Amino acid sequence: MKREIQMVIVIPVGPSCKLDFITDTIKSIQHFVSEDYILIIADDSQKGTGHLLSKTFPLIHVLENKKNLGKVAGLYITLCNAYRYAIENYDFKVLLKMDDDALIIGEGGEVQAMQFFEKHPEVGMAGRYIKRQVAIDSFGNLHDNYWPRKQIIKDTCTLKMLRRPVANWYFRQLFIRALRNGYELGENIQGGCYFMSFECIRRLNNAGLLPLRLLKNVNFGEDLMFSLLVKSIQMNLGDLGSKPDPIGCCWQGLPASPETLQKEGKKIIHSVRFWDNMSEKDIREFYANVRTGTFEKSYKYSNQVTNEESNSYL
Amino acid sequence: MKKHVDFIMVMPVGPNCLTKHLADTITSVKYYSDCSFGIIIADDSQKDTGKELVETFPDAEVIKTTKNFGRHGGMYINLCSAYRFALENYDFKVLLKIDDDALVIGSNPQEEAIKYFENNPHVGLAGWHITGRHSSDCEGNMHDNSYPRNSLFAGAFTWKFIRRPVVNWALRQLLFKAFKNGYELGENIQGGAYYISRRCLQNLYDAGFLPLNRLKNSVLCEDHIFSLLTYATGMNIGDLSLNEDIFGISWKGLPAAPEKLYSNKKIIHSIRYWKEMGEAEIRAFFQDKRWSESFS
Repeated sequence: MKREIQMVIVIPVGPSCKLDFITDTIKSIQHFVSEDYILIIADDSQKGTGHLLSKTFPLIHVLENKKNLGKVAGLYITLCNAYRYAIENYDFKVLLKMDDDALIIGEGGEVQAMQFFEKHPEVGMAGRYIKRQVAIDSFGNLHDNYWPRKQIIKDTCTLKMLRRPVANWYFRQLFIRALRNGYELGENIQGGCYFMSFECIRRLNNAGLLPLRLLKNVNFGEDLMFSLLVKSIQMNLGDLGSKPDPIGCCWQGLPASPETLQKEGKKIIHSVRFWDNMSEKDIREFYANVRTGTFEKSYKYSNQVTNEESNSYL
Repeated sequence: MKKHVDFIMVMPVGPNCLTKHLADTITSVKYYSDCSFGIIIADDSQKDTGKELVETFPDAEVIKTTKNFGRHGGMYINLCSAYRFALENYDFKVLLKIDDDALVIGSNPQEEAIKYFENNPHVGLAGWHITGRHSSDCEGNMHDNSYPRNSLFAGAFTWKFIRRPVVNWALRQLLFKAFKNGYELGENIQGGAYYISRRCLQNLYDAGFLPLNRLKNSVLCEDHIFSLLTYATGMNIGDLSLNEDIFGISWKGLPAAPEKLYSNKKIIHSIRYWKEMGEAEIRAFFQDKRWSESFS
């Protein structure tokens, strides 16, 4: 019997992730998320970061990779394991994927996402929606989307496909399927933070795409890959990164100053690595002060599964 | 010495075009244009349609094909001859390509097109911009754009390439170039009526795309080809059909009732039908409007 909760949060952790920073991100979740949720750490650090985190936060679920799968499609495999774990054990409404350099800075982002998916049941994945060659966010930042556009054509439609023939052949099949469903070259939801609906994850799982291990050598980022997969299962991508929406997401650095993001009502932001002259430490400190200035919340974990149980899943 | 005009109107004529309908469309352009312009008839009718039109419109230039090129890639070749003729003989700001089932219904639409190209110098081709698999027109009617998306992809990137290797190789090269410049698979400006800037035509000419003879057997329509070529030359395509913009275009039939279009659009397509109204009725409606306007 699956347990019913509102939201699953997944944070992938790599070898270079700093414990302090991940701890801060988890604290931001605890502070601002009011819905019933569980937190899964997809630990690919190979140095026990997940284990260390579980000492501070005993109720998190740590799924540790036996060997390092790395970034790009490796991260896709790591995340698929976490998503599959979530769908096989929980009935939830939305899944929030956050990188370790993302932060929750306001209440109610998950509620907005739930309402969005209810209103748009055809949408499976939502966040900062990037399409065409150059995408402009609501703060006027330009994002050059040339790389994924070039990469997908190169690896699926040219002789360079032969570099990784098996992986690229399956990649090509998915690309063609997605094109038939209206996929535009390189369109994606930026991977720093995004929401996925339960239905989307269910369909991906049923289609055997969580994960499709043959894709592990494909040279395509996990966010690009999930966006493609969502289109291939006849679901759409949605925008939750425009003006009144909860997500303020940029690839590198913050999309606007911490004060502006706060003022604009953003609830989930990425990347806190830098903003102008502010370092990650400064930005985190800024938001930690915002949190301590407001009311403290006790966080709710609805599941009592131990770390040992979740580790045995892999 | 090139003749100076504000704009050029190019109208392709096929074997099934009726002279009276062609004359009505040219009349509509003449009626609503308070400026100098040139008329070029790209006559692929293999009949005397062009000659008949010149009797009514002596200032029209007729570029007659020696053999029937047909539609799709053939029409692209036919139009290229007309565009090349325009570039070589006229000094103009924009070129209006208009089908025989399109009509001008508002005054001086070229002014807005000229202004649009001035404000957006990277845009070379403007009209109803169709992008993605499904695209809605100015009235929210959905248009299925699967055909150019599937044809382009299958021809250029799958084993179907070998069916027409020459044309598909050319398309493949163009696609790579266009993708680099931001082209989305199958996006196009609907060919019923559109404006091309002179700069874009010059770029196409300089790149050897007027015509690229290897495309003559293409199964893509001329509007798909010109849109792709525009991107391949490093320019973009733009929308002039939203809200208060001049174009009220749909692929088959009108996008809205003639009365509604008359109130907020200047160039419409296709006047073949609207609900129960046939082409003759629609043309009569707009003839009446022109007649009553001339009195007022």
